Amino acid sequence: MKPPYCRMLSVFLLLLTAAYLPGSSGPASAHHSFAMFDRARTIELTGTIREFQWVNPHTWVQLNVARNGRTTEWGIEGRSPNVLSRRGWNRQTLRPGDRVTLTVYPLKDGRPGGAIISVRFADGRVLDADTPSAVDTNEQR
Amino acid sequence: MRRLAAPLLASALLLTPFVAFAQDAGQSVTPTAALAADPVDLSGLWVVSNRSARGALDENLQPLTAEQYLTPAGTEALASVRPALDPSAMCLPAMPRHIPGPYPIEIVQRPGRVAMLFEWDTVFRLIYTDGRGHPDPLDDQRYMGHAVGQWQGSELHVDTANFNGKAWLEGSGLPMSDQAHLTERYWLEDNGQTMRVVIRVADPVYLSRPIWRSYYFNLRNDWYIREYLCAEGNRDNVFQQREGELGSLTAEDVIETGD
Repeated sequence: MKPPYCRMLSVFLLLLTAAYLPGSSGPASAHHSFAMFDRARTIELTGTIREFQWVNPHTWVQLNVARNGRTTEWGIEGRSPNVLSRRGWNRQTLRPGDRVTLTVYPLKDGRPGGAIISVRFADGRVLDADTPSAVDTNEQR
Repeated sequence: MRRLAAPLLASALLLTPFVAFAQDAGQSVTPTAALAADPVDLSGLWVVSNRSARGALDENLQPLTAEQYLTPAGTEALASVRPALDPSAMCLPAMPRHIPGPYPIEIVQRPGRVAMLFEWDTVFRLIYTDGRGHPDPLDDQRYMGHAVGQWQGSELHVDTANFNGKAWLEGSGLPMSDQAHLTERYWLEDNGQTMRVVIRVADPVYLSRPIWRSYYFNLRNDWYIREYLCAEGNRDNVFQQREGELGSLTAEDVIETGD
């Protein structure tokens, strides 16, 4: 059971994300529509990193997830290295063999894929991946 | 020798306009030395701000609903949009889509030119401020359009035409025809820390009336332009997906499914 503030944070993040849905032309959507992801639903995937592709236009996390004695490789799409690097990520943030839990928006069509929202490491540290763009990090403080 | 001179001179006179036409496509170009200094320097690294407006606006920069500005062709295009056919998913750039990015834009300026260097897709755009017009669209059509500008007081006014009809106006799937026409205004506020960008978009094919976009940019010279080569790992181009590499888009995103 998640503490209530976690749930509130999730709802807040969901609303924040909804505000950035492509279709309107504000400073957020780049490269492609996110229509194929079910943004009304989030799932948690715990597994082992097979590969972290630090490439444009999108990063990819290849995650091996074992469930009911069967291992499935998920392909999780992330924001570009350009966006993530300005949020404290680098090409070694996820390394092969790392045990992590990803929170993702799943693909609507049921294939083992989705869009990454955040990653939780074995030590409990959480790194956000879902800020829609550079916009929320560039305001002068 | 004298007998040769006349035909040579005649040939040179005949060839000169032809060569000039081939090089300049009918554009007259003012030498940089003859140009006045620009009244404002927009140079710097600009990052789009949360203060920017979203969606289509009217001339008073108030929100419009889709019914207020789409032609039937525009409505139809949106209703049958296939995300995998987004030119951007195939790494192709577009204007004004590249303005809000959300990636940074570096502006480099000198009399006669304002260069916009876009991090997104590592593409550039030259705005000619040397008095030339647009080239003949028969031989020069572009995803980004051809841009000419002039300084009016402390504002840069830009006129962009020569679109190729292959880009989308936005990720929703609203296309831009080759009749699209942009008029942009750029100016500085907050002692040069903010750049305002207001863009008027006209397109007789997909828009029943002009629409406006309004953006604020923050000056962030502590950032730098990174490389962004979209072809590097693009699984979104479903026509080039490699075996075993799951992309988020599929053939169903290309084909009309009626859902």
